[in-house]
Amino acid sequence: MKTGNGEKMKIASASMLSVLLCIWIAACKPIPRNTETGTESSESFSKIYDKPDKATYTAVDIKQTEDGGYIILGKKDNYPYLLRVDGSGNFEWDKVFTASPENEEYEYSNPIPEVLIHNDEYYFFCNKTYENGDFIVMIKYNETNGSQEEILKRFSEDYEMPDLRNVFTPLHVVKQPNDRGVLLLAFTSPYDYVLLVSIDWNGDLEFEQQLEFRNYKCIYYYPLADRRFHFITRSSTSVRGMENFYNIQIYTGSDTILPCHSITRKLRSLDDPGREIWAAEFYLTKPFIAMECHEVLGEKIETGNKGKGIIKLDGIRFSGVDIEDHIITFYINSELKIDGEKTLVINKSTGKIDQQTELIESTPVYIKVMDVDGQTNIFFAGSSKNNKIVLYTYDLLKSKFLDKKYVGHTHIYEAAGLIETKDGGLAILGTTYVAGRLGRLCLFKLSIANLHIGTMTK
Amino acid sequence: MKKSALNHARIIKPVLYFLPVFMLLCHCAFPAFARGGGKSEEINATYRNLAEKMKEYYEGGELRQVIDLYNKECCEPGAGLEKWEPGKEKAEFKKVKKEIRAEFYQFLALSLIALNRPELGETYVRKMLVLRRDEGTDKYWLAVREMARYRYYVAPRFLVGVDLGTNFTFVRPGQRYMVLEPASETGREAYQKKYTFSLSHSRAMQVGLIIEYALGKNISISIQPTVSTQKFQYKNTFIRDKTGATEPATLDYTHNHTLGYLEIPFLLKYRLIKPKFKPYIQVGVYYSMLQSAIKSLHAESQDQEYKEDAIVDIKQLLNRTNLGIWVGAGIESGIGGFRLQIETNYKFGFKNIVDTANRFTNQQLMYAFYDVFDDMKLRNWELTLKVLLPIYFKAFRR
Repeated sequence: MKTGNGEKMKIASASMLSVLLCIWIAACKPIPRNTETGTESSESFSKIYDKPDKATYTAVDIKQTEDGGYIILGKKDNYPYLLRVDGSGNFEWDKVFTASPENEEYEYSNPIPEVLIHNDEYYFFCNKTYENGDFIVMIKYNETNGSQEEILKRFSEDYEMPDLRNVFTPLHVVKQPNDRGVLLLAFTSPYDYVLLVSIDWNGDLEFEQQLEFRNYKCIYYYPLADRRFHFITRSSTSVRGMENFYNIQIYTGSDTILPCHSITRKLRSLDDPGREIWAAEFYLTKPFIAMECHEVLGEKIETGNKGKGIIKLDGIRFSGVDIEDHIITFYINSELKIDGEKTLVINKSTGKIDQQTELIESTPVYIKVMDVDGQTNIFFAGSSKNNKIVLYTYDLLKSKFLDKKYVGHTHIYEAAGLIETKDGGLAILGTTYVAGRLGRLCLFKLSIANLHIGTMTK
Repeated sequence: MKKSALNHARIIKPVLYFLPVFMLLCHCAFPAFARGGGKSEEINATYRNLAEKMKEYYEGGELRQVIDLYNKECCEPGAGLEKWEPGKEKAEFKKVKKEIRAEFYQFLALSLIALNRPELGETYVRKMLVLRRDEGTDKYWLAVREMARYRYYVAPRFLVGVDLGTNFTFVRPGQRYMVLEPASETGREAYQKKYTFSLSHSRAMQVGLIIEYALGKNISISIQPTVSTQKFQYKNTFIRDKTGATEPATLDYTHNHTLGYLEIPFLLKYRLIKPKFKPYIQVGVYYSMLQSAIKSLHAESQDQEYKEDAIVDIKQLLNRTNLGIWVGAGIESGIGGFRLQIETNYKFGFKNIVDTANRFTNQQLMYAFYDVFDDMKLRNWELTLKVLLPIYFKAFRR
């Protein structure tokens, strides 16, 4: 009997020791303790990119790179600043462009959207400050070898008004189809007009064209202190002869035809490189601050002469944003119809008009159309009066509001860009003020799971 | 002040869940006291006389009379030792004072041993030992004395109790996450959270109930539902270079967390049999349910231009349950009718306490304080004082 009890004791003791040993081994098993920050690139993330200095960083534009990462153009104080992050939003490198490598007395400033990617190199436009004023340069940056190059050095030098070179300010630039080059809108102060310039990637001018409307002067900053009234959007269309449709908006005349805000719209087909084919020019009583052209309405009327004909343009179907009585107003899948006076009139019976009183009128709104779960949605990103970024979602075809999401708390968060990501999500670029005073770039990635109706408010 | 009161209410609330259970256990326990205190003096006097009579029978060598007396007076009719099996005792006999019953069992055991029924005799020796658990063995008859001294060990079979103690929490971070990303190649580590341990910020309290059941003289199992608050702290520092004559605006963020868990450990305890202080070790698993989770934040810039405090409910950001291993050791001593234990335990949480699906959902934390939880596993060391009340005893074989 005693022997039996003794054996039981030994077994119990051995079991206890085994359990303790297992626990000790489990406790000692290393777990990752200082792994890299980040998530899978298909997931959501929120990042604020901080620098250990007191400079103010402001976001300008964002593009997604081939590898799923992001290149962000911003400003450090007023110097151009490039920030490269990976697909999970983790910092990779950054660069401040303070002065011309050829002569450091000439400083760079005022980078404009958009930042462009060509052959894995990054391009952007900014001012280069000379003795007598500002001049426009296109800067190419190669991340592989870190080389920086001024591509466009003597822009518009041969133009008939030679002193213009001292006073040009870039406004907006977009990439042309087939990676052919860029289209740039630039502004010149003394003569108050906007110039449309086509440039290839080597910096060679294809053409430049002064834009004006009925000889009214353009204006630069009235009534809002930014350049949102001057922009280029592009849309493909089924109207033959207008396959590459550009919608170029310039803002004119408030100093000559007050109080009406007039707008010059020039539609330009650039399907044939080097040729200047002006499609139409229209007048709008109220300017848009953002626009996405969905469809060009019209037809090509054959003249019977070897297939040649004229294009009869009826209007465009669009979504856009304007300011009505100091209130940001969204137009979702609306129509701009052309009346007999070459004036574009919003057909208010189409689409949806939504006033967003919570948005600040003096900050930009960004638009993106994309498919979510087989449904075409349109997203608007703006900056609200309670210092948050607001992302609105509408069903484009039904012109129906779906959802909205707020990003931010306590400190100021302002929207500065909105792009579709390669995994079907959305990336919102913004500027925030860390601890309420240090301007920093921020990037918010929403995965496709976060874009489903009802999940955005989570 | 209100938030502080709310915080305390959240911690106390689960304690209130235990109160009815504890009262029920006490209700069960009190009859155990009462049983020893005597019922009816009349019944006790009757059985005292019967015990004397039984002693006379035994000393006179009338061993069958001893057994017959037990069968007749103490057992249900027809349920005595007729078949040489333990008898089913009357309810009335069970209420008799334990020293009187012990007298019965003693002479019954001696008679059975003498009648060559040692195993049945041992049954009654064990019953006697349980009743006389605090007495020495010297006064027993020789046959019983050997058995009592070397073959059996009387110990509590079932105990209930309460525990109260303090604990210290350590965090083992896994995958790191951050909202404020350093835009420099070398700054990532500087921006990661620094988990700090200190007696003031990592110490919390726990209180619970204990239900213990002895499987043998050394081994017992127990369930100890415990309300435990666990505290931990981490800090962030976002460095600003000094520019010009101005002070650097380095930002310091201090995050203090108080988590309230209801923990249910299932433990296997092994104790050494020592006369006064009985050391023991215990191992087991625990399952915990999150009851409350509060973060208190303090943010401050070095130049004092920015200062902010906040208290945030973070329950939504954490997993509601956790599972882990529990190991501990302690020492036990009997004081009066109670068992006093002082023990220390170490708990290894298996699961990441952060709900990964909700990690990025608290806008206040993310955008006002640039805070998002890393993956975290908790380790907790606790020091506990336990008071246990034995409900009944058993004579275990040595």
